[in-house]
Amino acid sequence: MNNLDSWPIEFKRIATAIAFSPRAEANLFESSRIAMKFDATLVLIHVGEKSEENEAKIMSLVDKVGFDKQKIEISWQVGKPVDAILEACKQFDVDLLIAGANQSENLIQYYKGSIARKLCRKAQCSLLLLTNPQVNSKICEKIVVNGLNHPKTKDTIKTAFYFANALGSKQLFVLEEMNSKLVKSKDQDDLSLAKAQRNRQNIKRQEHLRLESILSEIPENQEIEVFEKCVFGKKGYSIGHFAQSKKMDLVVLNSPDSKLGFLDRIFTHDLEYVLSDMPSDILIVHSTKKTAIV
Amino acid sequence: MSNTTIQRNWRKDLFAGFVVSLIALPLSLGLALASGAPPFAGIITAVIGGSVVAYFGGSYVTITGPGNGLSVATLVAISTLAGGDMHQGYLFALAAIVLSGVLLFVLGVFKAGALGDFFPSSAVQGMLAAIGIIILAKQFHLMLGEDKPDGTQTLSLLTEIPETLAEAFRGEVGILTIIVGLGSLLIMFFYSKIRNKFFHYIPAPMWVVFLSVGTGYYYEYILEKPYPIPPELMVSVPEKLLGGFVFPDFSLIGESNFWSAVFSLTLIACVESLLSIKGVERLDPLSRRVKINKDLKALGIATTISGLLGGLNVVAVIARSSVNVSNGATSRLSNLFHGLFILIFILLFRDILIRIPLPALAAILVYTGYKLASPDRWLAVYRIGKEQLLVFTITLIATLALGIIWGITIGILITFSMQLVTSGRGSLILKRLIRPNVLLFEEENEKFIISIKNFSNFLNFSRLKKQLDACPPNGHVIVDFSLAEFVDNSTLENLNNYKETFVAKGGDLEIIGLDDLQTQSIHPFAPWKPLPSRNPKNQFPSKRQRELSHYAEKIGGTYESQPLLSYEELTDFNYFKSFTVDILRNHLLIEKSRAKLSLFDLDYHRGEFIARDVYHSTFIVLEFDFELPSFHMDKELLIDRVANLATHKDLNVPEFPDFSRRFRLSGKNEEEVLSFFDVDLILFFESNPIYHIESKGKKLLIFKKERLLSPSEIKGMVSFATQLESIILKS
Repeated sequence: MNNLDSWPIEFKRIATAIAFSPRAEANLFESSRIAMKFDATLVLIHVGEKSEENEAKIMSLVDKVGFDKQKIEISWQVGKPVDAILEACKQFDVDLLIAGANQSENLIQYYKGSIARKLCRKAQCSLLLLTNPQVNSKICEKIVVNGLNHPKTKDTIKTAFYFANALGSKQLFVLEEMNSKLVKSKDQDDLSLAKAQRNRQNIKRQEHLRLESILSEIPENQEIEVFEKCVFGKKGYSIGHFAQSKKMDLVVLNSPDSKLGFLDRIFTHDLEYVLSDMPSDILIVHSTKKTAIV
Repeated sequence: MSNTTIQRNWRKDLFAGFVVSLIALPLSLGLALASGAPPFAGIITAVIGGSVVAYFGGSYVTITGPGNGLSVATLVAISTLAGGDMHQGYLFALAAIVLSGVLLFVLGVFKAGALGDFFPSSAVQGMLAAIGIIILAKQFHLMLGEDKPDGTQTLSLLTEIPETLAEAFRGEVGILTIIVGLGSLLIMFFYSKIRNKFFHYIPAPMWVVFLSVGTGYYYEYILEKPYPIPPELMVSVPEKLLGGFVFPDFSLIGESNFWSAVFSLTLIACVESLLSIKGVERLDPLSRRVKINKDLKALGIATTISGLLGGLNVVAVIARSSVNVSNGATSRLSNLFHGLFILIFILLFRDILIRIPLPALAAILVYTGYKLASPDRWLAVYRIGKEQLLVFTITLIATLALGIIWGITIGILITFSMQLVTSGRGSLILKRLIRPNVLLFEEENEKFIISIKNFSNFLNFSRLKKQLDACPPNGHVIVDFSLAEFVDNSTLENLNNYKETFVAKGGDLEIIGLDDLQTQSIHPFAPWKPLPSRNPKNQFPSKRQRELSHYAEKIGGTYESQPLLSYEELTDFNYFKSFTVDILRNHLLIEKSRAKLSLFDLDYHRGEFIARDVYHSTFIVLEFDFELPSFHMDKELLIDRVANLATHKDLNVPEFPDFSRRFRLSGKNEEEVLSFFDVDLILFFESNPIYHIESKGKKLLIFKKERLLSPSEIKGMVSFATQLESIILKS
């Protein structure tokens, strides 16, 4: 965990919404554990009236979790949950927002949009969606990060390493999503088969070089094994499928390039695939606050 | 297709092309007449269709020419475009045909051929059977010399068959006509039953033509009597053919009814061709994949040229293609030859052609129709499952009653609603219908995994197909359905076709992950659905299970596919420390004097409720009769993911740096472990693929990946384990 100055984003201020349900409690446990790993301030956002009773409740929860009270800030908000949470993130200058999310959505949720999904669309900080917050700790062993050919990817990969370092992950897969047309052989005779194979090798080499240039900027860590993997399938979809079939613990993605609207859910693309059918926890990286989409 | 194959097979194609041309010639003339166009238009269509599509096309044994379905649409165009003036209407229709060719080409460019994948297998079978019945119903009367049956609808044609039979036996038709017709039919039926090498040098339809033409000459030159079959039942060829070229008249190009003719011609040509091409694809004995868009483009070009020269729409035709296949065609050359033969016949052998009696040709067609709708087909569909038979029957009836396009539409709808109801996963199918569900990655060099999520049926097969096409056919492909909850018969049938192409090119395609689902029948294409209860007891074994049981027999072990519940001993292994084991099954046991090898599939999981990660993997446990030092060895960190076990030190064998670099070996008692890893053992590990190995007490746990293995991978792992066993026993 050397040379932290080189990370593009640091999670110094981490926020999570707090309420009084068993699930919210688990969410607090997870969030505080992550905040401790990053040595960050934890901003607790409560959507509801500020009252002494509520404050005492929250503080007793913090006690239960065992988080340093000096590093707790509480934000009291009123209004619609999504807008209130986003407002609080702005006010408190939050780097990472942690939220619970349903693994898969039913049809109504899917077209109406859950809270997590709305956050995703509007958040101006990085967002960590937990599919199953737990009171007891679990190890985040395998992380998969997208390796798309996109300006944001560099920061995303670096942040994935930053995260992996902090959480003590063992394996990090950089996943290159390719269109299978690129490697398809036109005909079935030996010549075109050989050509297609050469094509495949070439693409692999090119991708390797591109990713290598990003990886070379990352401080070395013997603990983390890095794998590069080419998968073929629909862009944005394959990473979720890969994470599910290879049992990844965390998927790290670029933030969306544009705000996702209702039409994006009918004509599903990119990020929406992963959001509607979460294979595991998801970290959506907003490159830097400057480049984040307003 | 390489040159050598063409050199080897061109004779077969010549032959098939010849036989097809004999059938196509009268059909082309007839279809042109039925379309309201001059007979010569049909000839132009067949000749241009054969030669142009053979050159540009992307399918192998498809025959192209004038089509049944289109004759109605063309007749409508010709009789309406010029307000009843058939000749002028024909000229206008030619312009519409030219433009529909252009549109067809455009459809090919935009890859509309992918639509062809959306036709479910049983529905297509039903449609083919209906076409068979239509052909049979129309030609049966002609075969018995009844030239113009009263009805035009297939159903009424069928009901009139007894009447025609009665007329024949009352002697209202010449006895020779009936002899020729029924005799030809008998030849067609018993041809394959006769085991005479020389008899089989000539295909059955050729025998029919030879014998019937021979009878004609016999009457003319030996008996010197007039031929007793009336002239209207003989093939008629117009005398002045070469004066028949006419050219399209484009003057209606601004009119809306002209364009509606263009669109309806294009639509029907496209649908008829796609269905025919897809139908022929499954008739192809070599089960090759056709390039359907290339075919559409070729049909477009051919139609345009044909229209410019006065011909009709060129479409792919199933009946002639099936004759083509049954006469041994191997490539597009047969299509070309069929066109050329028609040209040659019409130019040179007019005298012989007019001696072919129509009842003889009709008998050939009756047989072709019978083959398409024979009881065998019904039985084959029934074997897959009752639901499939229902889809088949409904499609058949709908096609007969409403025509091809409505028939197949109803077939698709019925198949889909049937899947929604019977799969038990209707909402999943509806929800994920337009979602991607296929992932392809190269696991090792030239070894590809295609993982399928949610469900796989005829509606999303095109996505699976795209990834299958991306795999080199000489590679090893594993199709993994363990994340899927429903797999239909069209998918399995298509995959089976793919397997054949992969195997032919030196690759392989294996299917895993179906053991969790259940089928209605033992048929390889029976759809796989979720189990009705939690009891994972398969009624019928999957192909993988059958292969395993066969393999067990071969190597002298015992195999049991039923789940076992005694697996407590597994929890001794560190690997299972963080998992809960659910079910052990597909258990293969080989017992020897000092060691016991057992291989099994295991369902196990981590976490609960929505965080439940379910794994299905294949393991081997080797049990010895003595204690082994406890160690584990692997490449990826799978075994020591439980935090407190990761503290074990990575052990290095200094004499073998390569081994130390490639493997992570760790153990509690360093000395014991290092002394256990002697030269033989290390050399063995170095020269074999890497497996994860853990030892505990008397047992060794061996596995390759955290997924089920395909039969060939299992064989590899068993051979690895047996060798390992003998090396350990030696030392």
